[in-house]
Amino acid sequence: MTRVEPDVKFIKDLLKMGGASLKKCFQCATCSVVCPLSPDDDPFPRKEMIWAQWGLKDRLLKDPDIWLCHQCNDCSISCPRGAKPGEVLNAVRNYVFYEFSTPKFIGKLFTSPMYLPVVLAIPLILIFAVLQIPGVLKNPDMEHVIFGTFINDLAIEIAGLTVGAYVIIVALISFYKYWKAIGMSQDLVFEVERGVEGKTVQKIGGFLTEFWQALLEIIKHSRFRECTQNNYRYWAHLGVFYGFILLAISTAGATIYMHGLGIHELALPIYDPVKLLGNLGFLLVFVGLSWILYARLSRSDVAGSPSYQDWFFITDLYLVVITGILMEASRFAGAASIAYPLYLAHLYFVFMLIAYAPYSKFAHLMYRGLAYVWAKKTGRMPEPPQQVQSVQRET
Amino acid sequence: MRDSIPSGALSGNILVIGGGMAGLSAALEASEAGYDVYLIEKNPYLGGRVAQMYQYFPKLCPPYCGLEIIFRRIRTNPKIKYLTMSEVVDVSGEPGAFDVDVRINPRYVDLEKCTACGECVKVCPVDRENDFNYGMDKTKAIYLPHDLAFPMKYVIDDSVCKKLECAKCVEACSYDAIDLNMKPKTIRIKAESIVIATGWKPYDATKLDDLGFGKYPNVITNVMMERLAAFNGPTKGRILRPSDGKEPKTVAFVQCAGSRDENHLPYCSAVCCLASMKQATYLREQIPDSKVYIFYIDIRTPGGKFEDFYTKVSQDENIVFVKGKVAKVEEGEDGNLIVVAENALTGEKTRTEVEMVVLATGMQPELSDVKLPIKELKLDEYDFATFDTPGIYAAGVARGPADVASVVEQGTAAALKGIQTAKR
Repeated sequence: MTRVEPDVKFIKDLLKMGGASLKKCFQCATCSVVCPLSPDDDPFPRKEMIWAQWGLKDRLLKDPDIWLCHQCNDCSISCPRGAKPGEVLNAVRNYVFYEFSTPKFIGKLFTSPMYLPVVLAIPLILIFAVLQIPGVLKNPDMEHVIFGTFINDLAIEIAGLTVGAYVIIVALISFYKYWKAIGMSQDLVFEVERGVEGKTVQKIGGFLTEFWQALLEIIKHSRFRECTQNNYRYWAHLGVFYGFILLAISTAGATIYMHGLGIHELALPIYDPVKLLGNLGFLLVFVGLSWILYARLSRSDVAGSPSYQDWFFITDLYLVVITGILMEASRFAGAASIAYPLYLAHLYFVFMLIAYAPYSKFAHLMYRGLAYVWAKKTGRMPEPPQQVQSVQRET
Repeated sequence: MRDSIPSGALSGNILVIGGGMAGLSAALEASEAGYDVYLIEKNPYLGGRVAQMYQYFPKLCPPYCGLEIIFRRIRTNPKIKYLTMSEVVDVSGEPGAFDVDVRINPRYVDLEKCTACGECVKVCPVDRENDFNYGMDKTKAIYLPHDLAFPMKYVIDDSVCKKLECAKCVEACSYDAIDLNMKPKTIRIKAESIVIATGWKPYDATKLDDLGFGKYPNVITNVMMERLAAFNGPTKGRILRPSDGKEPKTVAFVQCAGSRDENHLPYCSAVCCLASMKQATYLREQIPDSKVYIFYIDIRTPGGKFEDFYTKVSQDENIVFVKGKVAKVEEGEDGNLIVVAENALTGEKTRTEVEMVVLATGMQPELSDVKLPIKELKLDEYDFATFDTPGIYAAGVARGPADVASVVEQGTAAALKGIQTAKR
């Protein structure tokens, strides 16, 4: 006999973390049918809805299916009760960010807007402290805006590497915890029973193959593309994703300039390829984010209401790219009195984006990526992504 | 005939709006208690939606037995005056002294002269969609509403009839019963109290985007299924699927098609579970090698008799109950359909191929479309009439979804309330 042990606090947390409507569900299973991403065998999100209602925390936190959902929101639109399964699954994902965070007390800071002052204060204090170190803050060149004359580039690199190392370490720990939770460390059953057609045996080529397949899936955004009611999400997310990659390449390019080519005064002209890549990246992220924001705000009944985690991440990323482009513009305009403070603000928002990555929605890349590998491994997401449709024929 | 168009100062104790089961019950009970009743019916016949049913649940007997008795009681009771093809256009006054203006639309057939011989139909050149059979067959522009219509009189559909341009029926009628110059007439009736029994209509299934009604011919609604099974229906009682007239060997019933759904009708329509089970028995009886699937969210069969009926029906192993709402109907081969649902008990998305799909569409109050000219009448959020207006009492599905037996009781209850007002 299965004993159901409801975790009431977990239910209350989910309600606060974006799943406010979960109790409205009456298990009609419309959601599982209209979902364009759900497999035939043990589909989501109907089962997740009842687990959430019953407070079955353990099952939900070990259920990688929540990452196979991209919140297309077809389920929420068709739901006869307004239970919004799309938003409930998003709330569960928010809970995963917290549950597997390292250390957990920092993860806790992202579970409620109540802790926002602390979240905002930590980087403020750290940046202020670093600026007190002699040699970090310099006398800026007010004639030509060169950011290296304001804050020592070396200090930024050291700070960046330190934060980077921290992020990688805590992310790896979280990754490992989730890896274990979803059973990646055990021998998984590779045979998946599917419908009435019998068993479909998934050919498995080992972790690297699965990892590669999952990566391809992410690069192509092929699952996002399946969304029907909110197909804008495919393009908007694609824009943000590739814009971000371009920004990363541009950052790497700048580093190469400084250390490989020995350019110390890093004030690149606008036609420089690295600058061009960076600006294109900015444009893609900005347009993608604006599109998401517009859709979410103007028709939240279709696109779904963002949770606090969504808001935090979207806002921070938005502020990063906006301060970034404004400081570039003021540099070219020679407005030093605006450019240097903007630079400081930009550093602040970038710090939050990177240092908080393992705790904020940014971490979805890691958890979803891992869930993709799991799905490839178990055959829950077969190649090609379209579901093999077995038809039950009755005579 | 008391059904002929009246004139002069008319007054009664109780005016009943709607000649379906609830209105008929209210009118009969009040008149048999000695009160004068006017019964106003929009259709050219009495009996409402019940007249379109093949069998009642759970007894599986034909509603026409009961209707025949009701019509006899009306015929022999001089205290009931009924008007068909009539609509209430204005209500003024107060409890105890209402003035009700009723427009009588032209039938073009004299109720006293028509003998229902049917000679007119033979010469009529114009077809119309038969709304009594939900558009599944056609009648001529002059037609008998249905085989057992009460009153048993022909009527002309003036939306399609060419009137004086054609007038072939006028010549064909040896009783001089057809008058194509008939005009609408408005009369005033004084009444002390009013019973509202305006009833329901099936929810418009074309609004259920993913269920394929209107797109695939073999997706029908439950009210159409009643007509298919009825002896006076479009197929003379044989259950045949629309696309090719074949006997459907596999049929899926889609419960809560539009009911319990915030995007459609948020409430439970109360009868669809039992109606589908009843219709499953039609199929199993008529086509012995048929298999029926009933896809449901919850099976709602309140009370002893209904639960017993569920138990009885579910013992048939060829009636399969699947817990999971059908959210998608796709096209299969040869006019077949594939219904997609998640079986919530096994956690498996099933695609079941069937030869016909019956949508168990819910009940929508007629009052959601037709606004009665009664200022005092309060409707609830779903357009059902509330019961708190002095002198005006609602009964039947105008008040909320209900089965026929409850509606009869509600009609009787409304009659008593009406009598109390009339007595004062």
